[in-house]
Amino acid sequence: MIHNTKYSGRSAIVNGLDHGDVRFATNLLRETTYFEGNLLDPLVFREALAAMYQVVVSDFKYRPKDRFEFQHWLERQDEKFFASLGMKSEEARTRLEELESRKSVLDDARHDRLKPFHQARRQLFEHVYHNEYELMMLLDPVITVHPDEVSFEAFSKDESTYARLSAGYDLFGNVGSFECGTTNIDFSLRLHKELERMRTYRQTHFTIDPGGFTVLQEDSAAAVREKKIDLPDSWLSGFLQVHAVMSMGLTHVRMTPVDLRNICYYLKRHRAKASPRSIRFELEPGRRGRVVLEPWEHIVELSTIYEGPKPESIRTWGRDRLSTLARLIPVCDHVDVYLAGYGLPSFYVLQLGPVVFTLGLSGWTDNDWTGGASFEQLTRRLEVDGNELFQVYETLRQTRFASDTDLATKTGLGIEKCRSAASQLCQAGRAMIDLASGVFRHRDLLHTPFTLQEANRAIQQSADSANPKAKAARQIYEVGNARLIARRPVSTGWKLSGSVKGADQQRVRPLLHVDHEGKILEATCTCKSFRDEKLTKGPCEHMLALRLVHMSRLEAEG
Amino acid sequence: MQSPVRLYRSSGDDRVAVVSTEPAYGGGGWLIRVAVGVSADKLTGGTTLGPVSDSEVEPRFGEAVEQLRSQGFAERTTEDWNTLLEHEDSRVRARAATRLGWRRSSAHVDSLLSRLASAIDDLCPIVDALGAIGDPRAVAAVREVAQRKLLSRRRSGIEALRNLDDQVGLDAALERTRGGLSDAIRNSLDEPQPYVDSIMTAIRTVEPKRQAFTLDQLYELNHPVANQAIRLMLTEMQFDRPFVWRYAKSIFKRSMLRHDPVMFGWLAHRIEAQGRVTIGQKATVKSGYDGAERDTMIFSRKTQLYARRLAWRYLRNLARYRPELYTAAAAEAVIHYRVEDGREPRGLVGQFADCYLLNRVLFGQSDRFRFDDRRLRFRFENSLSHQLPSDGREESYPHVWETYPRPFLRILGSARLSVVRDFARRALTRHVDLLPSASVAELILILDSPDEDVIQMAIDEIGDRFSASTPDWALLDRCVGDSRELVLGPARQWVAQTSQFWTRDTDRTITYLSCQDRELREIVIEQTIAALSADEVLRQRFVDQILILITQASAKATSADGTTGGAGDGMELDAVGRVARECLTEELGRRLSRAELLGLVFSSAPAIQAVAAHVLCRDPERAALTSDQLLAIATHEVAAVRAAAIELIRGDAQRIGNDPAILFLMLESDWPDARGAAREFLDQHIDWSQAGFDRIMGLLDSNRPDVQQFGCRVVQEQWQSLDPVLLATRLSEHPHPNMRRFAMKLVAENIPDGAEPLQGLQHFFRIALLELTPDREARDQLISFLTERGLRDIGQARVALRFLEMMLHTQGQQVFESVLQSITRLQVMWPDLETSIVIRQEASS
Repeated sequence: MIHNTKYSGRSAIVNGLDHGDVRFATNLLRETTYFEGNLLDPLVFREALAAMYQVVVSDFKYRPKDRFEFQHWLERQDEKFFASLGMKSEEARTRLEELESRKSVLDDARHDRLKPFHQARRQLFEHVYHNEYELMMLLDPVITVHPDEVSFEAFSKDESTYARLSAGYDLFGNVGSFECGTTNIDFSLRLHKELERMRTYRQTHFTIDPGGFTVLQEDSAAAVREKKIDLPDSWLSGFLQVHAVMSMGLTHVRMTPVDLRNICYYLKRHRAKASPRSIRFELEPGRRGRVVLEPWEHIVELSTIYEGPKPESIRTWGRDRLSTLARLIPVCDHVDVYLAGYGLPSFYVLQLGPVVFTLGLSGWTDNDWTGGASFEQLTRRLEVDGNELFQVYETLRQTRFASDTDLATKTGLGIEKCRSAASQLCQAGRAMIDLASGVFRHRDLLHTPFTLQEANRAIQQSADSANPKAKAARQIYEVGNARLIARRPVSTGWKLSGSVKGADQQRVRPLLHVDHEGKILEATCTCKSFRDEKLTKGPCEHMLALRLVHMSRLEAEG
Repeated sequence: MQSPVRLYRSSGDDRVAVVSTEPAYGGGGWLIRVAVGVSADKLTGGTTLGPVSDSEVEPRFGEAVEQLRSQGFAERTTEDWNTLLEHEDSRVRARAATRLGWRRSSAHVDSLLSRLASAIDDLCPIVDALGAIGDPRAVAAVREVAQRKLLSRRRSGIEALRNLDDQVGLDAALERTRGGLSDAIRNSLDEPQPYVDSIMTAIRTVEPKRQAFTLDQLYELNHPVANQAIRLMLTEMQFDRPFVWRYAKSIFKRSMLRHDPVMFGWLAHRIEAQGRVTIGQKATVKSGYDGAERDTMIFSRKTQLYARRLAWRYLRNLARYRPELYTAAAAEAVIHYRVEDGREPRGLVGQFADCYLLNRVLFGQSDRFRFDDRRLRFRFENSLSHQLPSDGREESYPHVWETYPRPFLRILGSARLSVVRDFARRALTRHVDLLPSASVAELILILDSPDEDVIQMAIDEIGDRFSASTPDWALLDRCVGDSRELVLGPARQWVAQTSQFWTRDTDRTITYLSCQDRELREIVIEQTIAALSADEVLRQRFVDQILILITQASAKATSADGTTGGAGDGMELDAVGRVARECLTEELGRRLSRAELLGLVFSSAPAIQAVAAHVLCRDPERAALTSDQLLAIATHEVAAVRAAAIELIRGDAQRIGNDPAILFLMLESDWPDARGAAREFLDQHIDWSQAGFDRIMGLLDSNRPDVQQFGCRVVQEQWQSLDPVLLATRLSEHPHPNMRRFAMKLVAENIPDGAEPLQGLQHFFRIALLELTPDREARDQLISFLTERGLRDIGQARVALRFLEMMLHTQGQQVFESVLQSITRLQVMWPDLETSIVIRQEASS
């Protein structure tokens, strides 16, 4: 998919002696969205934007080293060695050594002579690279203006890290006119560098405006800047999947900035040469949480008490991505960590006063968010028709943000239904979940308007592209190949044990722990899929079939 | 050397006998071969006589012929040929006609013409033969055939007309062919100077199925540029496709009929190469012969073998009947073989075992190989055969090569396989006069050789012929365009020696200025500048040429990305730009307006941008640039453009000194030279004591370490006039790690007593303590500072404690101990202070 953006002028910051003007140019191809106000705490905002930039340009995917030069060098050494073997005369050997040393001196001299040239060339390449990179690769963040906050969302280059920066209106003084909506902003390395000059002793005026700073050119058409980025489909679907994961029940643990610093500092100073390279959260209710850095088994004891209902041990991978938070550690008040489960995504929500920074990490670096496209299967979603979906969307659009209870009140639909509809809207790019405040927010990621027809299409597409595992589970359930052996009510829901015969006619034994709404909290199965992948790709069809049996039993029991 | 004699006999076991001579191995003397057999292809018996001396060869040869005559062998008579031409089997008739064509004997023209009237299957060979014989009596009949619709008939007819030199008939036929071509192709051919690219583009507009047909039509026209386009187009085509092979084969046959060695050699290799990747494809095609649609294998293995054999048969006939053409055609056939044509050597099957024509031409006489007729493969006779013989010749028809050796030069320059080039190099040792007699075009071709010794030979030859007063420009141009030191070494000398001539020719000068070799380019630049400096008329001419280049480069830069600005290509203009900057500034300044120059600075090739900036900035009054324009030039991405602006700034010190704002903006440039120049100017021309606090703060605020350093130096110099508290407070907000230590020093020395000033620096304290790559010295200094302030009063102690306690949870041992010690000291000093540590007094024993 080619993602087009068009800007009139550029985003920039202009600093005077006692005032500064930060102006973000917005995408002319999107709805008109603007905002202005004075930044009350520009330092926090500066650090948050710097972290945002780090996420946007970060690429932690493993790439094998290019050893071409080394191989070439080795070959030359071999050649020299073989040449010396053939050298029978001592005189010739001495002469060769002399020549070699002379050549080496000349090479050094040439290198010194060409140094300025190489330096200048490298600078030019870097300059061209940055320009081209920004025009062709750097995907500008999505900005959303809400009645209570301005938020920036971005995805990393490797599509494994999601970042959201929400600046509450407390950050701004003298908030002027604003228009709610979603658009892109022109973002670049140059802007990142300019933003570094924000200071408290200069009153900084913050503006989101389609105009930006117009380049001083007589031809106004030339001032319009267009970016055409070949956006992989996985980027968009990954962006949507983030919110599907956020709507799951997540394990919450709190850290202080020093805790996060201890983790990052240790990881920065040590390089793991063996697996597993994970972070293991050892959580016991009423006790301080422990973060274990593998493979060294280095323990970082957290400063806060874990308040969850039961002990947990959760491993997550791709921990190097936490280094993108380096600049936020000193300025944050505390860090809320939300964990989806073993090898599943995790979220780090940093409270920076009026600013909240959310970092979403996929299960591991090489696993983009689309790799585990069935996270939503862990949550039981009620069936929603097009009208209901559209109704929830319209309500959310008018209020801009609402909790599931508010939505239920305003739409007259049940809470569960509203939650399912909002979750579907998130999946369709029409809403997002604010993890810090726990509300759904209206956000049209796509340019096209959302109509009733669109809602019906979204429902249809959702049904068509339903996870194959969900389809298989439905088939197993309908032919009666899923049997509930035992179920036991517990404080958090139900514990289920069953016997399920899959399409391969093999009988397996799933064990589930679901909450009262049917959301899977814990699960195991004897099938191969679970043995290989655990829950990193979502639940298997056997678990889903067993849950269907359980839910139908509950309905029958009234 | 005697021409071979072939004799026939109508009865007996052996029907054919051939008497021929060849040089005896080991040098000196001749061998006389007498071969007999049931047919010319199966000469299985016979004997070899000799070696005999040069004087003996003729009588001994005559004796051998006479002996055969006594056995009943005799030459074929006209009656014999007529009998063959009237044979009931059309294949016999066709073969007879073909042979008569090769013999080119006018005595049989009438027989062929009389047979032509009733010929059907043997019509094409008869027409081909009439064309080859070239007797004008055949013109009328051939013209009629050339009008036929059927491809084979028309091909034979037109090629025969060409061989008959019937210009009228040929023109009429070709006009019809031209009529069948598309307008685009006709137009591209009719251009005064047709280009291969334009012809190819025109061909591509034709429907894909008709493209190969179009190529055949084009080849019929025999246009040299079109022929080149045909080869390039055929490179892109796969022969196993219907609508391709039929016409590729037709072109191949035409190349043999008109003895076009270039097309023949290229296509013979192409057919062999394509045969390695395909065994053909089945397709339903309509026969041009009877109109029936049949499932036919296109370019099947059988067809491939036929075509490959046909190629050698043609070469063999050339060697026998047209030896003057053989070596050129054989050379063209072997030069195209590449390493990629080889196979994985295995046992006795060598790397080039499947390269049929290559082996036939180069090793046809060798006894080291055994020929597999079914696969057309030459495998080694035994394990010893891998080695080349130290003496002796292995090529087919060595006597023909000796008589017509000129194509060795072609092989020397164009062959891609070393084994082929070695064949020619060996020949050069025998034909020492060959290279000196080489034409300029041949020498240029030899310079393409990858062998250094061959190039050296060519360079020596060029050196011998070189005359500084009348240089051969084609050769010199070729040498200048080379990239190998072997060629460039002498080229530099020749260029220097002939500068008085080429500097007068602006086109050539610009070409030389664009050469790849830096050393040579320097010579050209030096000579050009010298010539231009001394001659105003020449300068004007050069400026005209540069203006044309500027227009072209600007158009290219604009069309390349659809926008203006940005560095396009045009690296080749660098040297031209340097010459322009060194000695044409005034002339260009007169010819280009300020607006034009500004436009060029921002929207052209880098070299031209540099020239425009140089011209623009040379005269500050004329330039009258605004601050924005000057800043844009001074921070331009091209170094030479920046250099021009920096020069202007240096030359206009007074104006810039009065309003140095541009310099502060330059300090934030991405380019070190621009920043360095701004720093240097600020250092020399700005009185910092009068500049004010904010300007100094501007330096410190920079994100560039070099500017920050400069700012620190200025602060140290102007320390007395600055407000240290304000400076420390402001600097504490700097995000750059480089400034941390300096800021800490200022904070430690200048922050006034009291909890409130400390509280105001919390952002700085947290960063200094918690950043992931801490400046340890600054951090330790901070902990000491907080402790020391905390000890002063309890208010400051409370503030200090907040930061120190935060670090109690750190895992760094040194920091932990240091912080613990500080908190303890505060606790001891202020017992009322609530801390998270408990101090227990050790019980006295």
